Amino acid sequence: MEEQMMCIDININGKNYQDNVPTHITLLDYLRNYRQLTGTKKACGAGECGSCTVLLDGRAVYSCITLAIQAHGKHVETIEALGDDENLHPIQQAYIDAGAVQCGYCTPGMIMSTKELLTKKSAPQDTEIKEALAGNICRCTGYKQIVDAVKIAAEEMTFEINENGRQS
Amino acid sequence: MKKLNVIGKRVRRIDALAKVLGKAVYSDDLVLPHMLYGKALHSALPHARILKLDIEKAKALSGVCVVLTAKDVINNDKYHRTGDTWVLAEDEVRYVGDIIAIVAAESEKIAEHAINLIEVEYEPLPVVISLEDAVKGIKLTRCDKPDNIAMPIQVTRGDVDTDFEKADTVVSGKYIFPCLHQVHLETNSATAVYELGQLVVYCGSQVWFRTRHELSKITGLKEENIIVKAMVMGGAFGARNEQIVPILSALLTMATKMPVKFTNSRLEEFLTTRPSVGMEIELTIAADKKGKFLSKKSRLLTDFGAFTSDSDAVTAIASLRSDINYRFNSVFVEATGLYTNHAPTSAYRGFGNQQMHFPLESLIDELADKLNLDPTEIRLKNFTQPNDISIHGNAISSCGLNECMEKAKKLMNWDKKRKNKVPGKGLGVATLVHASSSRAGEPEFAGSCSELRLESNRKFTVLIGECEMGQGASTVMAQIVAEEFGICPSDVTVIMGDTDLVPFSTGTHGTKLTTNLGNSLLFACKDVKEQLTKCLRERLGTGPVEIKDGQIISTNTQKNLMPLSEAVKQASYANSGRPFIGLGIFEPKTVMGDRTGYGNIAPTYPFGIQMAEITMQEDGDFIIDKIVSVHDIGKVINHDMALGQIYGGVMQAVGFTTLENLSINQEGIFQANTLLEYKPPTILEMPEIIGDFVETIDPYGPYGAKGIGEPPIISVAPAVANAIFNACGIRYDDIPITPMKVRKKILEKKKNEKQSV
Repeated sequence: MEEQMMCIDININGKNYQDNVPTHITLLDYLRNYRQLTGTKKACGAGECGSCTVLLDGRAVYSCITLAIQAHGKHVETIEALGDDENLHPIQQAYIDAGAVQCGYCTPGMIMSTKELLTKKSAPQDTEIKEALAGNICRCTGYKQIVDAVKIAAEEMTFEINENGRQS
Repeated sequence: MKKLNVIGKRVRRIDALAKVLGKAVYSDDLVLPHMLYGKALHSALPHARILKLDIEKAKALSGVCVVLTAKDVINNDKYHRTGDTWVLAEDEVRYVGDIIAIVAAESEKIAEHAINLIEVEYEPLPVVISLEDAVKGIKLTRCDKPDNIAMPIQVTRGDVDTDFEKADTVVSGKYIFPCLHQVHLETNSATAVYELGQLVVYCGSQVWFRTRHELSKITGLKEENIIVKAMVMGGAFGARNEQIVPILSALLTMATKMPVKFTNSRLEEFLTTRPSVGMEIELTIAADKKGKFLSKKSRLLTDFGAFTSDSDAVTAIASLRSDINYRFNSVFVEATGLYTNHAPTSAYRGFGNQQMHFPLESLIDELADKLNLDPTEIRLKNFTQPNDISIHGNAISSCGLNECMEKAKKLMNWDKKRKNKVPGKGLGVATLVHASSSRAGEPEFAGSCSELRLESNRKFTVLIGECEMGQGASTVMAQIVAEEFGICPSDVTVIMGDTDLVPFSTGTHGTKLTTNLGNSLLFACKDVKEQLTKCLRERLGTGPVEIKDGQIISTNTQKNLMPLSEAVKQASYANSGRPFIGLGIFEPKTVMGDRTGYGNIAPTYPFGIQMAEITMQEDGDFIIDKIVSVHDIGKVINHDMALGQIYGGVMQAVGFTTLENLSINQEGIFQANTLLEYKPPTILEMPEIIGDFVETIDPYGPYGAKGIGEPPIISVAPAVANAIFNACGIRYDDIPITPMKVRKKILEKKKNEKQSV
């Protein structure tokens, strides 16, 4: 059972890391087991449910079917980067306010997919929201309050940008 | 009724913050020093004799700490309340997934490799998969049972024969409701540590104390030497009434004296956990010409899988519960639980009730059509009413079915849409009833117990033995304490689980927590208030006082004496730092069903109406446009969370009505054993869902509240099936109703019409 190893340079949530990892390990296992970032969840291990969604250079990916070595030289953003309890990201606040959280297992992945969407599209239509979240399964909420949360977050984020005068 | 400040108001979940931050700690997130990883070898065959089992190569692999087989488990055959099974299979395997051996190793990868090195030689035995084969009993599912019958039920109430003779109309049909998977998103995981003679197991569960009891039976340790610690849970939906994973991790830690984590893969979830009980149901309803129901006969074959988990109780609920909806003169039911060679079946949200509502509500629709009555009208003629005693003995303390129907019709615009029918559009309706706080568990008793601690630092802690699995019970409990003391719900800590801390509980089931536990917590609040006010009177000389809106008010002068926080501190310090510990017990006057199931199993019963609107295309492709879901759950304690239960339950039902299928083949394999193939619905399948409530104030619920956990999943399937009939005139008696099935029937219908021309 000899493992082939490779050294990766990776930026996670703004910090640079250098790690020697087996070439076969997934980005998900790397984040959870090497970096103790357990906010990203494993539920299917096959790219079917989206619980493991993280942003790789700004793009939402299933970290359970992405190899750690594929993130070499790239920026990874996980749920831990978004906000803390005193300074929540507007998306996190919106998920709480809209009642979009039940068991919470899909929540980190949902929030990361939402972040990619709202970065690209400040005021998405319902169909765009559904398309962006189609790869994230939630078994508790029936999705309705998640759509509400995305809309609240979109409004809130547009408002913030306006306040800072960066975008009209 | 007094003015409420927190109950029924907009209150955010107290556990949402940790969850949106990614800081909630689920079972698999736990890492302990020197922890080992567990894996299991599962039977590859649905039924076989084990001729040879060789674990030597696996044991010899570097990094493997232990390999256990049935011989190593002293109480191997004491697993589960029914005693109908074993932990590890020794001589015979009865389903694909039956566990034969377990391994603990230094890494998950080594453990997996070791599993592959175990050699098993099987002698295949006859396989029974279909209920039809099982009932014939020619081939046996298990060598230790003389036939495949796990359980028979036969119940007659009233004079069924006379009612059928009197009937003007009789309708009947045969319906199929398959096994379903609950698919809670977090896979089962447990980490066990055995040190200094004490076993600690970290896991999620709906039944902490049943889990402890099972661990005790199998390991031989006394219950007082076992602690089950509650981790945050990623859903359960009934599936975590029974789990083998905590037992496996416990056996491995006891054998190695090292912490062991055992986490199921998604495939293991499909193969080895407990899907819902599949059923074949024959149903006949007799009515008079005005549409008044007279009698009902049903015959159920229910699919237990390889052993009796909670499928016996599920079958009993399926046999009787749905009759509470209507005033029948008489009913006859005969149910047979059958063993088959696939994973044992058990509880899923609704506990058998959604299975029986499908035929009942489909057939009532057929009856309405036959009698040329509006489907809502025929139901209104027959609804149970407040203060009724149902034919099975259920005492109906509140029932808002008439009001639910009225509201649903308005929300769906039913009358107008029925009148001006658009081709291709269809409307369907179905009724539902469930129980709030069903008696259940081991040992069986009716009540709940809560403990409330108030510390000198003003910290309120609720300690309860039920669980938070995502449904929001912890927030409801925090709201109750907040309401009673005039504080903020986020200032209340709710500990649910941790068997060394919390009062004993039978578990989290039967839509029980809001009603039963809520009531017990009210008593605990009263207890704390009495202790605190007594102390203020006697030690601080305040005279008679009461607690209102977070303040201490003099009863005589109505003057505000001090804030609650200050009073607690002073009262505690005046008593050598004592906390105020309140206990509350609620014992509803329920009666367990007798041998025939006659009794009043719950203090109160929630009701509801589901309506569906669909659009059918000519080729059979259909979409669900809208679901209207109106529920009588008494007083609504948390509107957003109650709506969340409706949306989630409806969506799960939309999933199994139109998509989900385990596709069990003749080898007993769930062919759909990935999420991609099983198809739990994604956001793209979400119809417009309108949820609403009728607030009957129930005399037995806290503030008049009943439960909402299970009801929303019930009766969506028949509402959709009835809408499809309304759109294209075709009835569906088996789910899922996929576009392919619809297309097939439409083509058949067209062919028949052509031939008759």
